[in-house]
Amino acid sequence: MDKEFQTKRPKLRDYEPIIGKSTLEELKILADKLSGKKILNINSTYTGGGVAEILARMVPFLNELGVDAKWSVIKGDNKFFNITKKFHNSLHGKIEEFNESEFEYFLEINRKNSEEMELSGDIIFVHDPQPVALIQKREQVGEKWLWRCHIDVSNPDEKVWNFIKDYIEKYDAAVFSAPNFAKMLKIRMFLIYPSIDPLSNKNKELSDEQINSVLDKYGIDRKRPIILQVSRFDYLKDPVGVIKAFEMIRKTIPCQLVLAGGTATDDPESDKVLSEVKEVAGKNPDIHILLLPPDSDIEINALQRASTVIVQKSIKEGFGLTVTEALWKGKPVVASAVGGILLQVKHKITGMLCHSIEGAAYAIRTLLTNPEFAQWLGKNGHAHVKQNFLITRHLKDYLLLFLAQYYKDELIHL
Amino acid sequence: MLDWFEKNWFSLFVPLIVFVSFTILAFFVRFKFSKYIIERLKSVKWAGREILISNLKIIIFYWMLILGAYTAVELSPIKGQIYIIICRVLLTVFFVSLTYVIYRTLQGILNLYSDRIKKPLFIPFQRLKTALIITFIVLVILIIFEIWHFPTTPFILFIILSFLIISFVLRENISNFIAGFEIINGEIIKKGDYIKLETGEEGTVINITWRHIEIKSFDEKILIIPNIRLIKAKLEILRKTPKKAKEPFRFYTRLNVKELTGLKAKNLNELLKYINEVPDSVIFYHTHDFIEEYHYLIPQPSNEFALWIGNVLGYETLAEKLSTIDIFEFSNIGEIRKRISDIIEEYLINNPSEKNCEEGEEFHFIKSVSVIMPTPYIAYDLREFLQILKFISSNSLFFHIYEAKLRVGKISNDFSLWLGESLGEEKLAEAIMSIDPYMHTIESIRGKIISIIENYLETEVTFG
Repeated sequence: MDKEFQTKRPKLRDYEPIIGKSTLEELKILADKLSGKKILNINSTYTGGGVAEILARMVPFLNELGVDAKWSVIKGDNKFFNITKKFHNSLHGKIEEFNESEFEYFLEINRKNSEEMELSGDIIFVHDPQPVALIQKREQVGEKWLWRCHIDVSNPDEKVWNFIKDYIEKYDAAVFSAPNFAKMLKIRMFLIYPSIDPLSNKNKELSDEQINSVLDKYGIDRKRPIILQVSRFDYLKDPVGVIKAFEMIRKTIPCQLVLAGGTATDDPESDKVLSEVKEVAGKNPDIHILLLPPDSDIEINALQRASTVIVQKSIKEGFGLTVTEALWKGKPVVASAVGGILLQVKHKITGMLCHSIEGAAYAIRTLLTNPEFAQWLGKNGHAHVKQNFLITRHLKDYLLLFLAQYYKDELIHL
Repeated sequence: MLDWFEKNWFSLFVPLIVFVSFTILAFFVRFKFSKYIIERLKSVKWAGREILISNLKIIIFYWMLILGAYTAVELSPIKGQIYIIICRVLLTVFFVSLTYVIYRTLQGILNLYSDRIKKPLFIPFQRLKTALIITFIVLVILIIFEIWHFPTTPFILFIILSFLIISFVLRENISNFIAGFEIINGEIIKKGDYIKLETGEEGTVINITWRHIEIKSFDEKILIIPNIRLIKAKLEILRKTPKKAKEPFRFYTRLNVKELTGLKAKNLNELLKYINEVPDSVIFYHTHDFIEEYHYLIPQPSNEFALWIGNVLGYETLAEKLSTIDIFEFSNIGEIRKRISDIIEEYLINNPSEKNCEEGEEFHFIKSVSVIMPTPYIAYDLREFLQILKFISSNSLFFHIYEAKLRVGKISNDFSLWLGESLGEEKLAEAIMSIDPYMHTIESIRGKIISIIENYLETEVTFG
């Protein structure tokens, strides 16, 4: 569906109708101040995952603004990426077993990359833990080194955290996605929220025909209210809790529930969760469990746009970009008061927060029976995302971050 | 040749003398007659007096010359076909001059009255004048045809056919041309006027042609507007030259990035401790961040200290006291910090508490690192200021309204300072200063300032 759009990258000027001419002009003014500086982004992959997705947009935008930005990835074998996967889990608080040789191997691969990669630039912007030890090269390369942490490291396994912390603190600054995701460091720490791209397939405007064709494909009735949760089948997303909340609501309000998402290949539990969800749903024809392949952006977009209420009843959550997407579409959102959701959903202002299944059911019922209130929340949610969580704001923050490295003051006059 | 001249010198000399005499008489009459007429019409108060006098002067002058030429021809030996041709030429000149003078007189009188008639009636007047000149031209051509015995029917057919073809092929150009004629002839718009179309284009008129007008916007862009669009549009014409400011107003913008201080409070005592210790930029962030992040809400939610104390710690009375602090009262961050600190301190004396929040709900102290940069937009007068204000980013407004006063240390918002000091518009400055920026969204502040200035500016509105 819409192959042309999928391959065509939007230009910055395409965002003008959304953010306004003056905001685009400000980006240009800001970028001019970085004239002559070379930025090198480094992460571990060109494809797959949120970091690669953001860099694939951000680097061309920086160049479009006249900033010389490049993007390189480190190379590693399966052993290295298995170690970094364990690092990732540990930093999220999961207990993993490590032996000393694994730390040594991690450093060895980083050292090899630092020798083999063409490291050059004034600002070296390293993303996530995999390439963190490249900082050993800082004496030879670059003026400023920045480390971007895309994950929540607030409750890490201390052993892994202390290991990478020694490297992080050699950087000039670290960047976190939310105040709660950060750990105290000796270096400057910046806060830059993640973002969504309003022109991506997941968020662009869709026609009624496109939306209807997706609903028809999955046998969803557009005449009755649709409650949707988009998330992979994971206990932390509490899909069973969502079904229970739905059962409470449909006693009084005829509606449908759609649980749409995929299973993570690296998560052995996801199949188990999916079968449990199917079992709880039983043969209820109003519960649609959609196991979507990874390239289902337009389907997800259509489902979100067709929904009456969008739910994110996570037990634990990262930033929660699915909530951002729902808010952007002007939909009333009911979400758990966890993680980055708290930065997006202000209770009864941009959505409804909940702490339990009963709370979720009550909030959804409130929205279904008060469409004007739901619409008001949706409107606020859209405005909130427009102001704070679009990719253009992310771009502005990166430009400011780069500039701020050259000044110590809180008020920088340029 | 010499013989012929000797025989006929008298018959040549007499007409020449007669023509020269008529010419001298024409000049004499032109000056004497006008003086006489002016004297006689002194008591007449009619505004069209000048128009009549100037046109009479012209027509009498030309007619004296034509009469002189005709008398000279009559006295000359010229006869036959040449005589007929000369008479026809003179008759043609007579009718053309007569038509021209009648047209000038009527046009002058119409202009005189159209200026007095209210603007919505102005365009029909222009159309009347256009019709008038076309009628006169056709009339003169028909008279000339009659004088020269040309057949008029083919000419009329030709005119009609040409008119239809041209109208069809160049219908757009003709519309522009007619509109241009109306604009130029009627002086609806003059060079130097400041015009504003309902479609958003505005600027100073720098050139008027038959097809379009060119306007220069405040950012030096030249916009070309077809005459037909202009004549049909609802437009405002501002003729009063705006007062130039002593110093132009340069619009700045400020963009900020959030820096984590690493400090976080889990109870009221820690919150108070850090409020007293953190830099001004942290206090500014937590008392202004909501205005930016939730710019669409009216009124803005209170400062973040109050929200955290109320929502997380559950001290609702204290939260209410903090949220009612009127930040508009303060001229610097230090004063705001002291007021917040005093309120919390007083509460703690009366209600000692060590209640900690849940893990993960701590108050994180964040610093606002602001980059202040000039934009390309500079206003030299109130009109330009207004125009820029309409589209400048909300970041720029935020800087000039909130940040300039509290962080840069100015006594008021930048707009009021400039209006008062550089433009001498004290009343406007005060009116803008009286807007409480903490009770409105940034966009509604923009709307209020625009409305205050627009009401202040004298506007002349015409409807197309």
